Amino acid sequence: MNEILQVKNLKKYFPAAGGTLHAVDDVTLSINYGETMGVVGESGCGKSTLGKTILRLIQPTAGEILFEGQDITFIDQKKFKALRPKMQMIFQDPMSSLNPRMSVSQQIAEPLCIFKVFDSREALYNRVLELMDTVGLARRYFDTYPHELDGGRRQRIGIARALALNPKLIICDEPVSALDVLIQAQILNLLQDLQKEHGLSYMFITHNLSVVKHISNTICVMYLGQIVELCNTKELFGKTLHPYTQALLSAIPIPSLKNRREKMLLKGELSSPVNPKDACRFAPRCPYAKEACHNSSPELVDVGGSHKVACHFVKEINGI
Amino acid sequence: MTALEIKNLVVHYETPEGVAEAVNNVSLSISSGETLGLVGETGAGKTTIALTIMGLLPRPAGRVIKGEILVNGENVVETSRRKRKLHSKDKMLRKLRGSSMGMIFQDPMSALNPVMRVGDQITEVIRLHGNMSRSQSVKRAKEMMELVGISSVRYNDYPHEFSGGMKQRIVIAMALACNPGVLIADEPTTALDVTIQAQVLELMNELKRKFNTALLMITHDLGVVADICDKCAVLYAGEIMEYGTVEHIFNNPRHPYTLALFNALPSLDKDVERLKSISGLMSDNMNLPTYCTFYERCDKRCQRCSEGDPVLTQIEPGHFVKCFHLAQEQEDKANTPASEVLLNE
Repeated sequence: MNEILQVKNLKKYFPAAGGTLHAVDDVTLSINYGETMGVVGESGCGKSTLGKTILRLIQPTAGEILFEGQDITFIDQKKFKALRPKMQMIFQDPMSSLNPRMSVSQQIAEPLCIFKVFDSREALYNRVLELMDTVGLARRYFDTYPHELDGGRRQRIGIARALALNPKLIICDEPVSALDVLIQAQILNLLQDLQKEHGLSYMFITHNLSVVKHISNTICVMYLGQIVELCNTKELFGKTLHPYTQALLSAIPIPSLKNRREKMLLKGELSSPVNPKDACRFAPRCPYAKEACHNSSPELVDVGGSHKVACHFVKEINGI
Repeated sequence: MTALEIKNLVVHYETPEGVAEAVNNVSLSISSGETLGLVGETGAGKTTIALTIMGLLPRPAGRVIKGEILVNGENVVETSRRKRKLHSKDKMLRKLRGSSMGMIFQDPMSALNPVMRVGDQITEVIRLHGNMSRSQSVKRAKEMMELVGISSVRYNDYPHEFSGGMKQRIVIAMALACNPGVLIADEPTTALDVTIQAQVLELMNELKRKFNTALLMITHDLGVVADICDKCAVLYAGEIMEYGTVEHIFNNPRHPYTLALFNALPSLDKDVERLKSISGLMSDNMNLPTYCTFYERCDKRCQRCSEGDPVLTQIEPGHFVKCFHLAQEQEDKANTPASEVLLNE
């Protein structure tokens, strides 16, 4: 068994004014041991909901989530608690995910206390110091509070806390979006080092394609709750097939003058995820949209080399 | 024609904990129709520069210690502490804001009045500065809405009825309504998604060309600079570290800090196993060193760097760098007799 996590036809609907909001709609993906799956998309595409639903922080509507082969989709919270240490999360904004009234050491020790990992205070103390060393937090911050630290250090507390129980899978929800580039590079390097050392698997949720390219083995591009393209990183950047991914790639400002190129500008904005019609959700903004796109929803199909695309006209558009 | 000129600007925030030296001796100039990108990390002083130009520094903490800001040749800053004088500058600024200079803020939701119809918000600017009748102003506001790509039937809608990208378009319409000569954009696309960011940048670029506006683009994203700017200044701890055309900065970056910024970026074209980052943090602007502010984090540092503060030196026409090593190199080159240069080549 290679997959640490398998998600099959996962759905999460929210009741909303005027119908149901399809936040995550029929998502199927899997993450292998020791690998990183990058999830990219714009705000409102359901990427954070997907991450939270997998960790059961939000209850799924339908579908299946298998963690190490065990179905965890609807098991009750008591049983799930035993699995919690194995799957953890790092949140985007460290200031709002940390408790402002707990010191650095208390925050890191909290999961260890909840799961009663250590009998003695000394062992707990040593483990907290060890974790602080692992994530590169100087020991002098042991008794400081989050507001005294800068964004990068705060994010390191979040990482230390997630690592405390030796998890196997960490879901990182935009862990570097709030940070400056130099700090971002430090945190990305740290996450990569930790992955090598501890054999972690990551699901890396972000809107930044260059970050995702740097850190992921496979990438899944989402649009309005659905996966539009899913394949390994090299393949995606070498051979982008879905028009949305193409537009997304072309829209990224690249810090180089060689690439000052004509952009593929998308018109309009995301349509509403409330009661979506049975149609391609990208069709209203797609430059290649034809009638068929407005009448039926395309399936995610393998176009060879485990490169999956959800587009009716993928062959015509890319000439394959 | 130079539309905006900043000369030796020094801005301090006087707080109970001490004096924060937010901007130290910054000089810049932007001509009409030109875009200058101001890049730097959080706390580098980018926003303080923008607020100083607009005369919006928080009072009484923020104070201009030294320097001049010339908008269309008129000095808009007052360094004296005397109240009466401040008042006269205030009146002048009130006239200039909106008509001669406009500002686009980072977060469009907090820049718009949530209980006022967007159309009225645009009209307000024109009524105050445009010297037009009410009906003419409304007509002009509707034109501006169409210009930024929003149908004028939405004149009577409230800000919450628009998406983030649309709100930013409204803010742009407000900033450009009276056709100002200088436009200051403080991280205008940071809160937006990439596809929307691309639309908004394209719009700003187009309008800038149409109105021949001088644009000061404040951003932390080097990609945005590469996309729409003509010149670029790299700011670190309130000082300009490197300044030049985008060709200078992107094709031939020289300052160790600029190089560190480029190396830390994950790239879309190249495969990098590990990002190069530099350790440490930006110097605290309450306690700036007397020597080079980048000393602690610099990989080229030597004893000289810890003894004095380098000045911004021209290393090729229009390309300035604040570093002893590069200045030295330049000096050596200048001292080399022409015959030797030929030999070396």
